Amino acid sequence: MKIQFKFRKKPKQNIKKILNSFLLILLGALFISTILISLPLTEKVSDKFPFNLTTKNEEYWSKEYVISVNSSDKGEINKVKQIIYKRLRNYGVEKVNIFSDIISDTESQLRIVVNTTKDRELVYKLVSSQYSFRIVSRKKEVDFDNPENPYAITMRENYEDTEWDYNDFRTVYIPKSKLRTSDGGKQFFAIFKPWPNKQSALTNFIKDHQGELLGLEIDSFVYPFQVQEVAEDSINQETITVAVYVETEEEAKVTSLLYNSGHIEVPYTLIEEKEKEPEIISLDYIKLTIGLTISLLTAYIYMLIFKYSSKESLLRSLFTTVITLSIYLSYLKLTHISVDTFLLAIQFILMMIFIKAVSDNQDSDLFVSLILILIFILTSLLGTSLMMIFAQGMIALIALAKVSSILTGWYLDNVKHI
Amino acid sequence: MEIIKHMLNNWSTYQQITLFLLVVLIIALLLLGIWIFTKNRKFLLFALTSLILSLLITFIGSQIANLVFKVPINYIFFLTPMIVIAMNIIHLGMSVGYYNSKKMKKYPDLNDLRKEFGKDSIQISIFTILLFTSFLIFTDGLTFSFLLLTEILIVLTTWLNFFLVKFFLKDE
Repeated sequence: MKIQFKFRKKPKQNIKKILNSFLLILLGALFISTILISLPLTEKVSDKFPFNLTTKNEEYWSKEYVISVNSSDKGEINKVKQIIYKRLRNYGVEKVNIFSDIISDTESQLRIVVNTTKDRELVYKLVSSQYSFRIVSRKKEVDFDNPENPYAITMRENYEDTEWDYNDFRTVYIPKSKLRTSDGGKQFFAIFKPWPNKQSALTNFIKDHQGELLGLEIDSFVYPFQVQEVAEDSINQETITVAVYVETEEEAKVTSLLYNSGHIEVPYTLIEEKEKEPEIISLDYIKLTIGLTISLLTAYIYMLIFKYSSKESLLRSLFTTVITLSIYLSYLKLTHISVDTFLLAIQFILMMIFIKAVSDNQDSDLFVSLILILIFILTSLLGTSLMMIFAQGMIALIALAKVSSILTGWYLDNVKHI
Repeated sequence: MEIIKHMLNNWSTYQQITLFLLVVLIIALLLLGIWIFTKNRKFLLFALTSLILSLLITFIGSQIANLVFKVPINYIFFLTPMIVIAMNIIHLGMSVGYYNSKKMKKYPDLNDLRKEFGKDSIQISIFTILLFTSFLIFTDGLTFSFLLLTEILIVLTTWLNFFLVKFFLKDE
């Protein structure tokens, strides 16, 4: 007698089904968690882990800075405006307005009005520093080790000019994280990269001064640094590396902006600072969430009743919309990134329409997504500060929508088979 | 006119050039995309006209808001053209996708495309009106004016496209 074991399905298929079910449960749990986290007021459920949405409303401040420029030449004034604008815009100051007035034949005034949530000290630094720099060498007759004059190493008159200044460097690169120093600590560093035609001259300069203590003069203040040792037969393209005395990444970013936004040639001084009433566009995000949810559901019910799309397509796009916006909101809540509720609401409206449009017209998905992402990249590079903030959020949301669309598509296809 | 005067008098050349470049590059990018996806000159002309008219309508709309309704046009209004352009790209993109899926036919039915375009216009209008209105009821002052203007301009551009498509994409 033969005994035969019969399996209804092959073991491989069973394992696949179990694995699928497990993944579906995991994904379902993830979806529910993100939706719950993103909903308003759910942060009140837990005392242990705060995750409320941080809005910029309370953080806005506004100030008018008046600077006096030692020139009445329109070209020079325009350049000062351009560089200060570039610094503030790239730092992320939400609103920058610069007005110029010619006071006399030798003097002009610039009024710089900012409305922002950024650090006050750093904005002040970006507005008030000319940041003109030059490499200087020690005068032989000065005693830098005299304990009675500890500031000798920082005083400009104790140094002589070298041939190297801002004109000779194409960029000053500051890595985003601190680098290890010779004494085992960590510090930010600025790496001065010369123009290609000056590279061999700089390498020779470094070889001639290797091991020596030189100085980097910025706005009449000298920061001493030691030139690195270079092997005689070295063929490396040497650069000057100087320690940057700041603590945070944000400060390092501001230093990089001061070095790289262009060089202000005419001297200027900050003569006045006036506090102004900040312009705040605040929205109650709880009311807004309720309003947007009702409108979104109404729009989908309308589409369903008048049969503009199939039930399945509507379910897919609604699910993708909810998941995309929930993940984005959860991320903002958990990371405590400050947001403009006003911008967030506009971004969400655009995303709701975008997701509905591309899920209904799969053939247009590639075109619309690609063109929109490229256009928002262009906007974040060339637009005003507010446009840049808006565009960066949109790029993140479009990318997230693509991932959510894949996840929800897979989830809906597989959940039917359980 | 305040904002134009402000841009001309107070903006640095750098700001003026970057904004001009942004507009030119957006138009060029959209046209390049449409050419790559459709290889159709009529479509290209239609998209160019639509984009230029949407920018023009945005400009005229903000001028009317400023001069007739005394709405002060400030920095947040720079977002209006961006939002209008983004919506216009979504609208045009929907028809590009549809055209692309049918172009393998020897004679693609442009009448069908026009019908599809009408359907898309209705959908976009419904979504825009409902979503923006839910936002409008919680705002006032300048934010209200900005949102209302943006909403009106999106709907206007959408229906302008609907009429343009009838004009540009005719069966031969």
